[in-house]
Amino acid sequence: MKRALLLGLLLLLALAALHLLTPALPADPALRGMLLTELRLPRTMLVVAYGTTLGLTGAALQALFANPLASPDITGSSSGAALGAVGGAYWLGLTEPLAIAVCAAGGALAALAFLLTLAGRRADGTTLLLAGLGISLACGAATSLALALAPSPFAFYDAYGWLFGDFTDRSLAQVAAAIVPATVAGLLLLRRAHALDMLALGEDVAASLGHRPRRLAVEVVALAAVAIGACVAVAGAVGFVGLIAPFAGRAATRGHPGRAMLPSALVGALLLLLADLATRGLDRPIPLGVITALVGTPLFLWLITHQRRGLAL
Amino acid sequence: MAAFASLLAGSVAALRVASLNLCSDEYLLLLARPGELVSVSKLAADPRDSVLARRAAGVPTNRGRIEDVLAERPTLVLTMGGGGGRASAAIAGRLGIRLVDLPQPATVGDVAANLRRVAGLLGEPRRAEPLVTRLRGLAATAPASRDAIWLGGGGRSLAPTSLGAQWMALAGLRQRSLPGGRASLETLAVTPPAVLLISHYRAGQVSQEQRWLAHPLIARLPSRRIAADGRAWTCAGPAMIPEIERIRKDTQ
Repeated sequence: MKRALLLGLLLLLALAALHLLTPALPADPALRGMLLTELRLPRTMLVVAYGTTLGLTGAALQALFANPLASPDITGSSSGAALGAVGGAYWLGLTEPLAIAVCAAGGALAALAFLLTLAGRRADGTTLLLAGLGISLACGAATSLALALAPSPFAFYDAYGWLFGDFTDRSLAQVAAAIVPATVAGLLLLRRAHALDMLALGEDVAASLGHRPRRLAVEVVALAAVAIGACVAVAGAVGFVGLIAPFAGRAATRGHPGRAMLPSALVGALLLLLADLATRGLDRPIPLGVITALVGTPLFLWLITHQRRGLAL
Repeated sequence: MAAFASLLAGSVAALRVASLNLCSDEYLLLLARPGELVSVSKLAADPRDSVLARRAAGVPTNRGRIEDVLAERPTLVLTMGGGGGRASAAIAGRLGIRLVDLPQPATVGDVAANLRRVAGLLGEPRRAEPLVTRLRGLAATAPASRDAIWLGGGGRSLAPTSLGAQWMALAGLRQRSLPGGRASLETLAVTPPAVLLISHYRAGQVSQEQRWLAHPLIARLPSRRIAADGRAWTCAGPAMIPEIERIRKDTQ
């Protein structure tokens, strides 16, 4: 396990370096330095932080809901965050990246709280999936509507970026507003790995071992919302990575949902780096979420059909 | 004599012109006399979208459909680029309204031709002359061209062959060819143009495109920065004449 993590970390570094240097840098050293520090490095860091967050929160939510399909996108928290960010930026007129991140975290939290009231923490797979899908669709539609009615006639064109993810030309201030909250929330989530593993044994078992399932649920939901909100506020909602990465993570930890968080985070960062590299290889900008969805949907469908009996679909 | 008087009265009373499109509005707002103009598009009266909004004050506005202007009993309705569609033409024909669809100008010369045509439709071709003369003056005295990029929100720019780029040439600015008609921050950083013509169209309103323009890297480019009044560039029509005159002054 440790060796696999180390190997993954090395792979991540190599891929991040490749991401940083694609396309080729100019020869002029001053120019090269500026490009690296002002444009390339912020983007690479943002992609790594976002991928890590998706893997981590995906694994935490799947552990909490005891459902392999619970991920930031399927639970509606990504689109809730996008709605919160759009509301804060376009309607409340907020411009500070951190203030928009707070709105996005609020949106993600509202979506998750709504899901919990609709479906419950230990809901069967179908209920959770359908309730999450409903929230996700409603938030997506509300985001498009909020952008269409926003004062700026250009706002509507931003819908793509908010609903499919966009990493182009973010400033250092924006990237910091995503990375700092996401890292803090992510580390705090990681500290709950053991408790989440115990929760997988059942609420009673977890309670008898000194964990408080209800409080754990509130903490995980709040931390996930902060991490997702911070990332979505800067780069929009990216789907499917939060679903796929924990799948790989769990395979690496033989099904321990809590312990799967760290490998999931690594896989998430790797996947998002690969997806963003793919968009850079094309000569015209395409939303990152299109690639993650293209790769992610087959797995999602496989997961659903694989568990059809359990989900009673 | 009586016939002549009635003809005169008839023609004066008859001139009620409406326009359904921001770009055809421009010609009327520049050439029509008060009283002749009975309706312009909603955008023409919005100071965020039209440099001529002040001239449109008090003129009833429409939403670009012929149904909106029927109440003003126009005798002539102007559109541009097929605006209004076939149904509009049919309605206009039935009601005896003359519908004129101005061609979308592809060159600065087309703008001059449209000016003359609209002045002719208003019954006084002479009215176009002052503007056409200014336009000719600009073309005759165009400064030597410098490498430039027109920059709107999100890096939106112009094609070198576009009408906007032809106006830029009259100000001595040569629009650079950019892939997809967009400038990326990397392009700007690696090969900054001599002049950046930055549009502040709707700059006060939030959008990702506006946020892009606020990136600190743009503020540090060595390029000479000149403001473009993005409202005039939407149509790149006759309202560009004073815009180019101003840009020339600013670049000197």
